[in-house]
This record gives sequence, C-alpha cells and structure tokens, in this order.
Amino acid sequence: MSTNSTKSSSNPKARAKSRPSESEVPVHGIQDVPEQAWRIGAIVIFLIAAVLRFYNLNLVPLHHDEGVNGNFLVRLVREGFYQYDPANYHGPTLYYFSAVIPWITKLLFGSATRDNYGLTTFNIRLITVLFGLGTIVLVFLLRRRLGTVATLSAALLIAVSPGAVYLSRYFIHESLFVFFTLGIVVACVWAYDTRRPGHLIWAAACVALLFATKETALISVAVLIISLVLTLVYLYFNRKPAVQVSKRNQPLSLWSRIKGELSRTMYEMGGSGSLIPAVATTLFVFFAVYLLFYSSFLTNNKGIMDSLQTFAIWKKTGTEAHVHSADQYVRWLVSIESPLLLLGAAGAVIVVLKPKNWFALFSALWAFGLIAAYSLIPYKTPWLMLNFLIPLALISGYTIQAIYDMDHGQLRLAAAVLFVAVAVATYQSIDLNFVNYDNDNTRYVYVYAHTRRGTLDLVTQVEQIAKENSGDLTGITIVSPDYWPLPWYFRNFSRVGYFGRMAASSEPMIIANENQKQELEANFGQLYRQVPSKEEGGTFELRPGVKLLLYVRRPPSTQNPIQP
Amino acid sequence: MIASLLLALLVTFSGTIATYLYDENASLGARLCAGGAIGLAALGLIGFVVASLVGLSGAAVLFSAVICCSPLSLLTDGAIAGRLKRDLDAVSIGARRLVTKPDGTSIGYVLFYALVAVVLWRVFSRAVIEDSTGLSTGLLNNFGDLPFHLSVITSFVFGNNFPPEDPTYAGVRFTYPFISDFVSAMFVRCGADLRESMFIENYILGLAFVGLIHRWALVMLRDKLAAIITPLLVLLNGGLGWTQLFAKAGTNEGGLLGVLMDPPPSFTVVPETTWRWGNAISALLIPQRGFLMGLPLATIAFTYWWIANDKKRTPEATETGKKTRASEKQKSVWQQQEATRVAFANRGMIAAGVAAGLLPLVHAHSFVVVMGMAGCLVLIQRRWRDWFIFFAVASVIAIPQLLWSTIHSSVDAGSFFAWEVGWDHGQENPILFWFMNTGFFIPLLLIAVLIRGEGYLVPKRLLLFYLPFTLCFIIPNLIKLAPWIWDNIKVLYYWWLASAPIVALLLARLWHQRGTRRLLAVVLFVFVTLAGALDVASISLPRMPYQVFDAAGLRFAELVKAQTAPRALIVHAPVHNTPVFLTGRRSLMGYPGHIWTHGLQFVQREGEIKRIYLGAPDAEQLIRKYGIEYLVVGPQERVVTPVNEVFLTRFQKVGEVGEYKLYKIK
Repeated sequence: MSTNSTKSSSNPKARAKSRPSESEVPVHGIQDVPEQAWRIGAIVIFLIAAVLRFYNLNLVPLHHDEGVNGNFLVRLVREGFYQYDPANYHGPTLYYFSAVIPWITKLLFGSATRDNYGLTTFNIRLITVLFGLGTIVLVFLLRRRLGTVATLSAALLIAVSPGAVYLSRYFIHESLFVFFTLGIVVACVWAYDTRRPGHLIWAAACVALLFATKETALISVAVLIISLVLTLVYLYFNRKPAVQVSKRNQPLSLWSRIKGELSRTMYEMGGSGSLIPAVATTLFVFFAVYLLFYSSFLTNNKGIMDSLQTFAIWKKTGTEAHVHSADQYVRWLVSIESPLLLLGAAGAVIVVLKPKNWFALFSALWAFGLIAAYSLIPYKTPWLMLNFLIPLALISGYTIQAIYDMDHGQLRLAAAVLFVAVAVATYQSIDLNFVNYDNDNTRYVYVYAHTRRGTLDLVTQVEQIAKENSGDLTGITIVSPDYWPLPWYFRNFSRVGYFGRMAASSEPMIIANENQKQELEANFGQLYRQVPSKEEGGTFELRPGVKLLLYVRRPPSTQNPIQP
Repeated sequence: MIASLLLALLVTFSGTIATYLYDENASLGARLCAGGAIGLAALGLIGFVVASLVGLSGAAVLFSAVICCSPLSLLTDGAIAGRLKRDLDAVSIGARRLVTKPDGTSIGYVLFYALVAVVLWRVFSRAVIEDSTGLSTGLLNNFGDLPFHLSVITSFVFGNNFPPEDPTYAGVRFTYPFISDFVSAMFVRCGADLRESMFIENYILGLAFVGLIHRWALVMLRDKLAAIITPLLVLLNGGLGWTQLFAKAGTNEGGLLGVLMDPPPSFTVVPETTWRWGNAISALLIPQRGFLMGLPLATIAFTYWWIANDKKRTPEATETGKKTRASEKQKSVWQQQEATRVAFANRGMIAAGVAAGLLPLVHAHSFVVVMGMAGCLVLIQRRWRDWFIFFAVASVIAIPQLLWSTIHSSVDAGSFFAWEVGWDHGQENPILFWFMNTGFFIPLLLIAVLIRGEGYLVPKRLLLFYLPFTLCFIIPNLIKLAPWIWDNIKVLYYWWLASAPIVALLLARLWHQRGTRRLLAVVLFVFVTLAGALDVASISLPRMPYQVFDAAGLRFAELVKAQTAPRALIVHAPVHNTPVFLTGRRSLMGYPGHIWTHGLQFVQREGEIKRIYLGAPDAEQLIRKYGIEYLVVGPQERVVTPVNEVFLTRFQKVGEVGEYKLYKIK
C-alpha cells in the first residue's frame, strides 16, 4: 500500500490523498499477503468460478421461468418488440443484455445465423454467467476496504457457492440484479475513497439498472441505506471519547459529526464547483438509463408509468404467491449454504464486538438486513437468496481475515477454516449443479419446480421426427395445459400451436399431458401413435407432477381405416 | 524357480548399484529397496520391448537381463566399489554391534523389519494357493483379480501375445498396465510356476515398498520414530471398521475370541455397506499387482523430489525429536560439498524421472498422480531447472509407452470421467462416510498441521510439499476417474500415503512427551491401524481359501494348451475363473465386470456368446465373424447360459476332463 505524505497542502484532493483511509492502516505487526500471491489467488479463483459456471451450460433443461424469459427475448430479437408488463416477468435489462449477441450475429451474418447460433441456450445463459463472474470481479475491487485475505476468501466462497453457481447458470434476472447491487456499493466506496465524484455516475447507472431489472430494487436500496446509517451510528457510539471538540469544548453530537464529515468530504471532492455538475450528471444518468430501458428505448412510453405501478402490483403478489414461513430462508441457508451462514454469523459477531472495519460492519448489516427484510415478506423463492449470499460472503471473508489477524499473520489456521468451508460448498455445488440439478428433494433448495431432464429427451425426439418430416416447418400441436419451457426449445419451429387444451389437429406431432391420454386416444388414436420414452408409461416428465406424452401421426398406410 | 529367483536378485542388485550414481546418502537397505523396485520395473519394460521383437523366449529373457544388469559395470569404478564396500562394512559392523552391544534403536529396526518380512511372506504366500483341490486364494478381494492376472501372465508365456491383445477380450489392443504381470511371465519362462512367479515379484516389491516409505519419511521428517511409524500407518490403513469386531462378538458363540479365530473377510471393505476404504494389503497390493509395482516407484520419485528441495541437508539419522545444530566444522564441510550436493540433487531428479517414466505401463493411475503432483510442485517450488530435468527424463521414457497404449485403443475414455461427488459414499452422508472409513486419521492430520508449540509441528516447507497431495483426496471426491467409482481409491491412496508421515510425526511427538501423552499416542495409533491389522491378520491366519480353479479345471487347462495353438481363439462362458485363462489362449470375452472397469463395451459380445451357446440362427455367423476356433463347455457355461447340445454335435470334441469339454469349431 502506498505511503502518503502528511505534509499539509492547499489542494483539497491532495489533502484527501494525504489522509490514509482506514483499511490502508495495517494491523500492527501483521504482514499482508504478498502481492504476487494476491494476483495468483485472484486468477485461480476466477478460473474456478469460470469453470463451474461455463461447464456444459446446456446440461440443465430450462426452468419454466427461463422459458418465459426466452420467449420475450425471441420476440425482442426477431421482431424488435418488447413492452414492460408490470404484473409479470420483471424488468427489461435481462432481455436487452441477452439480445446483444443475437443482434450482433444478425448484423454480421444474417437472420439464419442469428437463429441458429445467436439465439441458443448457451448464449442466453452466457449473459447471466458473465454477470455472475462480474460479481466476483467486483468483490476483488473491495480489497482495500476488506483486506486481502478477506477479499480472496469472499471471492472463493462465491465462486463455489451452490446458489451462486446455480443461479449464474440460470437465465433469470437474479445474477444481473446482484451484480448491479454490488456495483452500487463498489462505486460508492470508490467515490468515497478517491474523493472523485465521477464514480457516483457509475453508482447512478447501477441504481438505474437495478430498478430496471427487478421490482425488489426498492428493498435492496432501502437495506443498503439503512445499513449505512446504522453503521455510522454504531461506529459513533463505539468510538473512543471525542477527538474533535466543538468551539464550546463539548463532545460533538452524532449529527454534528455527520455534518462535519460531509462538509469535509465535499470539500475534498472539490467543493460545490465540482459537485454540482457531478450530481447533475449522476441524476441525468440515472433517469436516462431508467427511462431508456422502461420505455423500451423510446418505443413504449407507457412502460415508464408501468414501472411505477408495478410496486403496488408486486406488493399484492408478495403476500399471495409462493408463501413460506418467516424462517424459511434461514432453513434454506442451513441446508445449502451453511458455510456462508456460519462464517457470516461469526463475522457479524466479531465485527459487532470489535468494529475495526466499518465496511465489514456495513456488510454484516447489509447481509442480515436483507435476510430479515425478505423473511418478513410472505413471498419467498430460493433464487432471492442470491441477494444475501454476496454480502454474506463478504462478511464471511472478513471472518477469515480476522482469524488471520488473530493468528499474527499466519495463514495456516485461516486456510484450514476456509478449506473446510470451501470443501463443503464445492461438494454441494457440484452435486447440485451437475448431478442433481432436477432433483426436487428438499435438500436441493434451488431446484424449485424445475424442469426434469426427461424434457430434453422429448425435445430430442421431436427434433428427430421433424428431421424425418419437414424440418422446422413440421407442425406440432401442444394440447397440454403445461408446456413451458417448450416454446424456447421449439423456437425455430414455425408451426407450433400452444392450445393448452384438447384441440383438433392434423399436424405430424401432438404433445399432451398424461391426464389427456384417454381423451387423446379416443379422438386421435387411429391416426396417431404414442412415441415411447425411457420412462414408465412412455411419458416425458416435464417437472414434478407433470408428465407429457408425445404422439406422432401414423404413415397413411398404417392408419386404421375410418369407418364409413 | 531358482533361475527366476536369481534373475530377480540380479536385477535388484543391479538396481542397487545404480543408486550410487544418484544418491550419496542412502543406507544399503534403502538402496536395495530402490534397486528392487526400479530393477524389476526396468526388467519388465525392457523385457517387453525385446519380447515384442523376438517373442518371450529364454534368449529374450537373457538378453533383457543383460541389459538390466548393465549398471553392474559401475563396480569397475573404484569410487562406487569403495562406497559399496563401506556400506557392506557398515552393515557388518551394525550386525556385530547388535549381537555384542545391542541398543534400542537397532533392536527396534531389526524387529520391525523381521516382523514385516514374516507378515509379508505370509500374506503374499496366501495370494495364490495351489494344492490337490485346485488353485485358490486366501484373500476374498483377490478372488476376482487373480484369474485376470493369471490370464495376462499366461497370454505372454503360453500365448505368444505380441503385440499384446486383451487376453479377456479378443481383438482389442491391451492397454491395461501389464508390466508387473509381464515380469511374472518372464519368471515363468525361467522355470517358476505361476504361484512362484507372482510370489517372488510380490515379495520383493512389498519389502521394497516398506523400506522406501521408511526412507522417504526419514528424509522428510528427520525423526526416527515417526519414520518407522509411517509404513505401519500406510500399510495398516483403515478406519472404524474394527468396531464390527465387537458387533460380531455379541452374536458369536465364542465371543470376541471366536470372532478373532474366524474373522470376517474384511474389516475395511465390505460390499453394499459404508465400509469402502480398503486396507492397502488386502484390497490393493495383493489384488492390484500394478499398484504394488507403481507405489514403490512413485515413492522413489517423491523421495528424490524432497531431497532435491532440501537445500540445508543434514545427516539423515538425527537425534529423535531434536533439531540438529551443525557444528562450525560440519558447516564448512557442507559448504565444500555444496557443489557435489547440487550435482547429486540433479541426479536425484533424473532418478525420479526414470522412476516416473516407468509408470505408464506399470500403473497408469500412479503415473497420472506423480506427474500431477510434479506439476503442482513446480509451481510451488519454482526450481525450474531441477523440474525441467525431471520432466524431460520422465517424458523420454513415458511418452513412447503412452503413445503405444493410446493409439488404436478401444477403450471408451469417456466412461472414465464424470462428476461424482463423495466417492463411493452411496446414501451415507459424505462427512460421516469418511469418518467411518478413515477414523481418526483426518482429525489427526488436521491437528498435526495446525498444532503449534515453539513453531509449527509441520514446518512450512513440509506443508508446501504436502499440499498438492490433498488434490489426491479432493479430485476423486468430485470426479469419477474410472468406470467403477471405487477405483478412485487408486488416486485416493496417494493422499493417504503422503498424509501418513504427518500423522506419524504427531504420534511421535506425543510419544516423546511421555506420561499420558505417550499413552494417548499408543491408543491413537491402535485406533488408526486396528482395522487394517485385522484385515492383514485375517489373510495370514490359516482358513478355508477361496477356490478359483478346481483340480479338473487345472487339468483341463493343460489339455487346452496341448490341443490348441498359442493364438487360438476360444469362446467360453463370460466368467472370471474359466480355466482358459490358465492357457494363454485368446478369449472371446471374460468377466464383464473386469471388461467394464477397463473401459470396454461388453453388452453386445455377452449377448452374442449366449446366442452361440444357444445355437441361435446367427450362431454360425457369429463364429465366422470372430474367427472362433474352439468352444468350451464346462460347469461355468452350464450355469451362465443354456447350452444347446444338439448344436454342438456339429463340432468335433477334441478333449474332455471331468465336466469340461473342448470342441474344435474351425
């Protein structure tokens, strides 16, 4: 770390630089990890994260929600149409970011290449993978605030966390949401550390993108602000008797301290001359990004009003759908993220008892504040946990750092504790992501009404039959009321009808629900035969409790003659 | 037998002389152990190359022996001859002192190695038992593997299997590491029978392994007690399986004594249960002959890696538990010998490279582990020149073997690798599974690494050397490395091998502290080794062996050898113990379990064999397709598949022994 001159200077920025930030003052006598070890560690952790996230991205069949998101994306890419729906399916960022690759592919190579190579399962999940990896990079940027050991530990825990890996490989909004949330924190910390108001622009962009991603942005931002305030309050009440004394020789009140700190910070940032333009730019960026996305890039102005109405709609949804008990998140964390929970809790206790690092304290409040906030809402789904996994990882990393510092800079004990945590997490991560990715046993928390792997067998069969018929022009009638995510897999078929109930058909293929078997065979048994599967009864399991049947039209010579 | 024994001793002695080229400090015993391992492996590889050109004849064996004995020419070098003489003198003096003025350490060493020699003699002699009832094994874990190894040996000796074809799956290149079996084949060519050929090799390698572990631990730990405990921890590995003793005692009429007098086959590996961490001797070294040869070679490599890294080397035998402080005089001697030490360190890396380079056809998993560990240590130690020497030498020897074994291989490599977490834990919680199977070993390992007095018990250099070996535990717990998940133990065991010295160091430290800590050391040692010791005892005790081939089968095998050409293709029941495996003839298909674990597809051929015996409409076509020349009908065939006697009447019966019949088809 750079040593700073303590010579006074009339230049505010120079004076800002001369004041060593809290985390740059090393604990007395404790040597930091060598720079080369930091670099190698960061690279290795990034590679581990990349391997776990990139490996066989097509392995897991799309979830229902992924299929729906894919459907929006297809329409956006092929027709250029997207309109924000306040009642469903969250914000627009996921679709626009995911559309980039197909758009570029189309621009360079045409529509056919776009459909075959741009709009693929790999490419759509690539976006969430990249944001997942980006989250880890953002963690690395917190090194000065958390400490080298803490940062590496936090990054490693995120790299192997079952939920972080699973949701990075999931085409839903969560990875982007968490990236933007952490982006706000990093940008604000940068702005504070460097006294450059320009960094606030990044924060503003992240806030705007956060709100343009999911409606729960309100919760995240509120918890961040509350955590910051509580941090300042806690530090104030835990500081040694006042260093600064007012003109009346009385200790300063909290409000006076805050005012004083703000004034100094503003001065070091260049005063009002620099700040006003910066703030104005920040606000402009926020509104510009927000409005651009919600207006579908100026093609749907109604989307802007809808983005405000959505809070009322989701407030209702939050009490009616996916209702679980208040302790559900804690139970889920114990089940699948116990290393993060235990280390995070330990770190929170340590930092509360010995608040040496304000950022660690903030992270603890942020993590447990989010757990509390989301626990109060009846609506609970496992992927929301990603929001508190990241701050939990930060405070968990701080636990490792604290062990390292307590052991006088010896890595061994800290490494042993971290190793056990990472070993447990890695085992669970690989088990969840590559073996039991569709196992609805309660142990696999993130597998939430997930599409079963048998669905891919169905898709393979359909594609095989289509090849023997008219290729992508082969017609498919889907009479099953449950069919997501099939629209994504059949996106290149131009004659697919999703009727959701029994309907007349003369198409080469019919896909029905198992419950419709009798009705279907009564209506079409003479013209169609069931395609067998590896499962009992020849079914293809879509998800738990939903089994599909595939029927193919018999060749004309084998059809039973229709009685006159 | 005598000739085979002489050959084995000759190559061992030759390997021993070679050690004077690269090791300046080893005792004669350590040299003999290294010499035995490298000598036998080199004999196998060189012998195979020669036999590939001219067949496995007596002349080929002689020629190979001459090449392997070329290091004996080093005796013409006065310096080396002088060092050998000094070592022999040291042994002589030591022996005399043992008789006239015995001390605890000497007595301890003698007793230790005497016990090891007796126990290994006993267990290896139970690996193959031949008597009037047939050919058996005293070890249940060897019941399936023994016939396979016999089929490999006989294919080379009696079947002229060059270039090697899989003796249990005709028509595919034999890529299973076969050098250890080839060495036995050479011994058979020299006059030993099958049992003797395996015993000579197994015994030498077993003793060598113990001695090599001892030496490795001694140079790493510099603690005599810890060094002597290490081989015991390695060979008597096990977990909490000994608790079964008390569970069974409750139901046994004779109580605990009754159970001890008639112990179950194993306390460490029991099919369909949580006990999967097999004891080294009962589950690995006897049944997996390649492993028995691979482990000593790998240990040689590990030893010289450590020696090369040891820049501040002190004399190997030090005061127990105390750090040695070099005197000023010794310091100056070391400084003078610095250049010599560096030269020997490089030569040690060459030796390590040779040992590693021999591994691909000896034991493929060992080769992968050794090269993987080397790769990690390069990054940690960053002594580029030393490691370049190692990799260069290893590559020169290994690459031709790798190319040979992978080109035109029919192995489905994809069946080897897949995600599979928790090794063979089944439905058990993985953490509980590992605790049950390794007992206190892992907790002791963690304590040893973390415990600190004046300094850490495990110094940083040792810890950094050990760290890559943790991957031998982590990776097999995440990924399947062979079609059968249990075979991951071939990599897992290297983790145990590398961890044992560290646990031994902790136990030795407890012992040195006397009082209750000494008692604790003993108790912990017993808990860690009891299950393995019970397994070894179970093998050693006289008990009913497991018959592999009956007497009629052995006679039938002789008939087949007499009636058929060496490369004749014979169809028989797809079982593991067909007498055809004793003949060296080509087999259409052996035991599906083995074939599957080797990465080959068996389903189709298994079905085809059944159709041949059934006389199915396409039976003749299948016979023509494979070029089958002979067909066996025996007790195994009648159990496994219906035999269409009418169909067989169109073929000539050329031999019959008891229930075994041989039909000539072509």
